[in-house]
Amino acid sequence: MMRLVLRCSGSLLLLVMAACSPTWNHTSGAQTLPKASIIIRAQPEIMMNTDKTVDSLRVSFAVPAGWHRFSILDDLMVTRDGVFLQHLFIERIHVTQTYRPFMGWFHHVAAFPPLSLEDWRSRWAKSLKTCFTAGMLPADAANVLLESRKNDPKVTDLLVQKIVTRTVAGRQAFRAVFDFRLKDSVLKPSPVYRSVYCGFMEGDWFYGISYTAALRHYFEKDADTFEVFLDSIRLVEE
Amino acid sequence: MIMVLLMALVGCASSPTHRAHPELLQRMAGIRTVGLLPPVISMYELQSSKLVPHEEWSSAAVEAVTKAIAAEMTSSGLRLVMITADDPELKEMDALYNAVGFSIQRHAWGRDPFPEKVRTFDYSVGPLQGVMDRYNIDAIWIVRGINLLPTPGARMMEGLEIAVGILGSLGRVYVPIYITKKLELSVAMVDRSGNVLYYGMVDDNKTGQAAKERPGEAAPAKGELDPLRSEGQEYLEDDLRDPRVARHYIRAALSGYRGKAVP
Repeated sequence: MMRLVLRCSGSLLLLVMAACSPTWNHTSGAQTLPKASIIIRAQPEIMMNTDKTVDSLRVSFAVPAGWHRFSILDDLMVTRDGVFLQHLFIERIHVTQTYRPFMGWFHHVAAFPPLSLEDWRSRWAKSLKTCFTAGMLPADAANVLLESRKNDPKVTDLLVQKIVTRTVAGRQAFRAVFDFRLKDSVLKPSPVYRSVYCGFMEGDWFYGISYTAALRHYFEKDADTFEVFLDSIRLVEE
Repeated sequence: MIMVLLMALVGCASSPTHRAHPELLQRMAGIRTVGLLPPVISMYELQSSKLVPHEEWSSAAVEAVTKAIAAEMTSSGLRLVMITADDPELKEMDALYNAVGFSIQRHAWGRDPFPEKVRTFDYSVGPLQGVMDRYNIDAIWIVRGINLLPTPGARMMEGLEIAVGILGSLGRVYVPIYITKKLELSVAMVDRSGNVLYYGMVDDNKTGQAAKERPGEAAPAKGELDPLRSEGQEYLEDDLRDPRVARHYIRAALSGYRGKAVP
């Protein structure tokens, strides 16, 4: 009977979450990603309430025609055929972050991803072992990022192809190309994926813009689209 | 409440069982020999609180499904060639197909629909000319399936949940009824260009139980023993190891293709 009650409650919860769940946005063209925020907790020995919220800059970008976007918490995912075939991704990570902070139940439900996104969470910052630092050189930032991929329990057969520097949104950035397979995902076995990851520091925030696609057929098909997307990226000052 | 349930049921019934590439008809003209990758069928025992995988059941289901496809191809006038995924290119294509199939089910079908994908069925696993030439084939069938066989305890629990749901609706209390799909089978055909020409997907909710229909076979006469049972084989309803069930679901999954292939 307990199992029956649990299953009924579970079904009801799923219904509520599905009702709250946003879906893919199919509008292409110029868009702006709101600021990412993080709460810096006060040190326990300080009795005063000194918690503070720090914000990143907003990011403007152009969604390619025929692509679909979805915001997960502060990140952005854009795909044409499906996230497991190809996607563009924007993430912002604060220098104090080595994991994605849990921002409360409601926030989590509001950001509950669509079904097609539920298994692609390995890109989140939670696998960072070391923090980014303000003013970090592109090559050092690339090492922190690649280290996080190595530590990611959902990534296997990681092979770094190339790391160079380039300019993104007027900032000196790294451009890393690496291949990998997914581990313990819904895809058994996983195809080989290739990522082109560009990242740079701006103040206390790391900005990462990447393109990931199945190496077979899909990667080449949309590699040029990524370059156009990358050129459209701007940081929006107040 | 009853209206809502009815609408949900109508929605399930009207969801398509297949999607086809816009050029399916033209391209079918050039397809004479089709390869079949070993079907990937996962069979589980559905216990009251967990799923237990059974390798030997899965092997038996693969055999039954393979025979069912061979029979369907024969009746469509196509030659079927068994191929293995040992070839590195086929292996990577097969892995990519997992991602393609996942995306088709989400975006070309209706869970997270993408307007372009719903309008025009266009997915690919990349060019396959080399593989097609090596095996001397014109297209490849890829089959995936999952089959849960409930234990008597699990069946009883599901029956109880349905009864509680009905009683609840009579008393104007909404009690969600959670019925697990017991069987889901998908078939896809890819051609030399790598385009997915046809994708069919059926499940026990859409297709109904095979044992009641027995397509192509006369039901045993009254008092006559069921031939499979008389051979000592005992199958549950919707058990893919049962050749009749495999044939029934393969026929349903290929219904859109057969309709075009057979004049």
